[in-house]
Amino acid sequence: MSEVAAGHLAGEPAKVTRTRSLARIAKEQAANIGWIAAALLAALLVGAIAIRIQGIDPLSAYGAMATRAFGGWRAVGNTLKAATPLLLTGLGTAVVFRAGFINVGQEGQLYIGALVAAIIASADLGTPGWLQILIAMAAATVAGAAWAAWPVFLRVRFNANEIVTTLMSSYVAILAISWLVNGPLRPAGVAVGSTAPIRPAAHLPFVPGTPIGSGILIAVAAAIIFAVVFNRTPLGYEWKILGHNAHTARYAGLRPARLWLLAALASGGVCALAGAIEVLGVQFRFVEGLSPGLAYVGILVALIARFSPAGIVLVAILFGAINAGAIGLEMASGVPAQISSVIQGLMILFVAAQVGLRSLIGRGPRGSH
Amino acid sequence: MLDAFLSWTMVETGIRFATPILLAALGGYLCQRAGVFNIGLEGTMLSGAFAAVAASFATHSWALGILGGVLGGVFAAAIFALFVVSLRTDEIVTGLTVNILAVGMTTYLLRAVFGVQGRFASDQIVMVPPLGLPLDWIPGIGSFLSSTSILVYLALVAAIVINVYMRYLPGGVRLQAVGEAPAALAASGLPIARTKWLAILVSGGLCGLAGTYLTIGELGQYVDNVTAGRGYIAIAAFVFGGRGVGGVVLAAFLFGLVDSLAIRTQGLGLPSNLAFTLPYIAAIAAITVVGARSRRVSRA
Repeated sequence: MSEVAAGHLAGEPAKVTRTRSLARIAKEQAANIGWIAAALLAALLVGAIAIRIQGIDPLSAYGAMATRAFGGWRAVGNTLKAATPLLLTGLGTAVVFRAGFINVGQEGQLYIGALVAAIIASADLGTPGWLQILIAMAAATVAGAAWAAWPVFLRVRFNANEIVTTLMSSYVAILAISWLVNGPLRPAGVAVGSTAPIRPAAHLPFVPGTPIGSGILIAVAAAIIFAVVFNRTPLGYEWKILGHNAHTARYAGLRPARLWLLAALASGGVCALAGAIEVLGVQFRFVEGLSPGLAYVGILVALIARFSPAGIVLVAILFGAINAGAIGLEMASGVPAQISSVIQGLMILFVAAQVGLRSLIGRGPRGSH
Repeated sequence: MLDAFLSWTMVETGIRFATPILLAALGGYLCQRAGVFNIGLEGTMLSGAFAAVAASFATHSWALGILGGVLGGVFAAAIFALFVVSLRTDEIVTGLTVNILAVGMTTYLLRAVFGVQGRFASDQIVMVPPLGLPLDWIPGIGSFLSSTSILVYLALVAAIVINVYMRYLPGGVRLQAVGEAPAALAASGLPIARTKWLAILVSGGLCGLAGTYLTIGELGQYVDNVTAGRGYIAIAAFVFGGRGVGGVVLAAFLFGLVDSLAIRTQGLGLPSNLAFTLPYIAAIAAITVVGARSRRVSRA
C-alpha cells in the first residue's frame, strides 16, 4: 500500500527523463508555484471569513500579519527562525516519501535531536564554543538517524506497516524524553521538565551584522545537498524508482532494504538536526513541549512542495512567515495566533484538491483508478 | 504482586480505556472493509471530542453533547471522504492532513470560542451519566457494570450491530465487495463511491463517539490534543483484529488492558511517562505480528 501511496505522492514520476529541457523544468515549476499560490489565496480567503466572524477587518489583520513577518530585518529574522525547523523536517519527509517509505515519525526524531544537542551543549567539554556546537549537532544527527532505523528493520524483516510503527515511535520517544527531563536530567530547583541551560559559548551565532540566526543557512545548505542527491546521483534516482514502484525496482535489481535504510537515516538525521537548531539557536535548553508539532507542519510543507527541495525552501519560508506573522496578528487584533495552523491545513487540502481535480479532468498523474 | 495485576479494577480500567479505541477501531474497520485505509481516525476523534464539549456546554444536555460529538466526527469524516472518494486524493496524505488540520482547528476554536488555551473546564459541561443497569449483584465486576457510562454500552452495541450488518445484511456484503473486488462491482453497476462515502461517514460518527467518551464521558473537560494518539492505536487494533468484528473487539480490549497495566505499574514505582509508552510499544508489537503473519501467508 505504501508503495502505491508514494507513487501517487511523488508528483509525476513517470516523466523521469534525463533530457528534460530547462525550459520544460521551468514551466513545470512555474505551474506548481501557480497552484501553490492559488491554494494560499483560497486558504487566506477562508481565514478571512473566520476573522470577519470575530468582528475584525480581515485586510488590516492580514496587514498586521505581513508587517510582523516581513517588516524589517528583525521580522525577517523571526520568519526565517520559524521556517528553519519546517524546512529541515520537510526535507526529512521528502527523502523517505520519495523512496516509498512512509515514515511519519519526524516529530520524535526532532525531539531526540533536541535532547542530545541540549545534553552535549550544556556539558563542560573544555572545547571552544564552535567545536561544541559542531559536536552537539553531529551527535544529534547520529542519534536521530539511529532512532529512525528500526522501523525499516521491522518493515523489511517482518513486513510491519511503517506508517503505524513510525507514528507510534514518536509517542514513545517523546514520552521517554519527558521522563528523562522530569527525572534524571532535570537540574535542581527547576519546576518545568527541562535540561540545564546550554553554555553561552555554544549558542548558535547570528549571521554577522544581522538579526538572522545561522540555523536557516544550515537548513538551506541541507536543502542544496538533498537536491543534488535527488537529482544528480544514482542514489536519488534509485529512491525515485523504488518510490514509484517497488516491484519494478526489485526487477531492476534494486534492494529496497538498503535504499529505505539510507532514506530513513537521512530523514532521522535531518529532523534531529532541526531539533538541535531549536535548542542551540532558539530555546538554549531542552524544555518539555519544545515543539508544538513542528515536524507535522514540516510534513505538510513537504507535501505541498511535492518533495522538491527548492519547493520545500519556499513553502517553509511561507509557513514560517505565517507562523511568525500570526503573533503580530494576535497582538494587533486579538485573533488567536493559532489561526496560522488553520490556514496551513487548509492550504494542503486545497493543494490536494487541485491534484484530485486535475486527475479527474484527466491531465494529472493518476490516470487509472 | 501478581494479584495487583489481575484484579477486577484492572479489567474495569481496561474496559474504560478500550472503549474509545474500540469505537474508533470499528470505524477504521468499516473503512478498511470498503477499501479505504483511514489514518484520519485520530483527527476525526479529536474533532468529535471538541464538538461534544462545545455542544454539552452550550445546551446543558449530555444527549445533545453526544449528538454534537457524533456530528463533529461526521464533519471531519466528510472532508476526508470528499477528498479521498470524490476528488480521489491519496488516502494517506489526506488522512494525515485531517489529523493535522483537526489539531489546528481545535486549538484555534478553543481560543476563538472559549477564550482559553490548553484546556476548557466548566461546571456547565454536562457529563454522560451511567446507564444504571441493575447488575450490582454480580460478584466482582457488578458495581462497575451498573455505574459505567452509557457510551461503554453503546460501543458494545455498535460492535454487535456492525457484526450483524457485515455478516448477514446485503449492505454489508456489498461494502466488503467494494473493498475486495471494486472492478467487478463497477461492472455490475453498484454504487462504489456512495458505499465508500457511507462507510467513511459512519466511521466519522463512531470516532465522534470515541472523542465524546474521552471528554464528556471520562474527563468532563476538553484538553488540547486529548486523543493523544488513541486514533493511531485504533488503527493498530483493527489491523491486529483481522477480518472479523470479534477480533477488533478483542484487540481493542487488549490495548485497553495494556493502558490499564501502564496505570498499574505506576503504582508499583515505574515513572508514569515511561509507563505510558507501553500502549504505543504494544501497538508496534501488534503491527509487527500482523505483518509477519501476512508475509507468511503470502509466501505459502
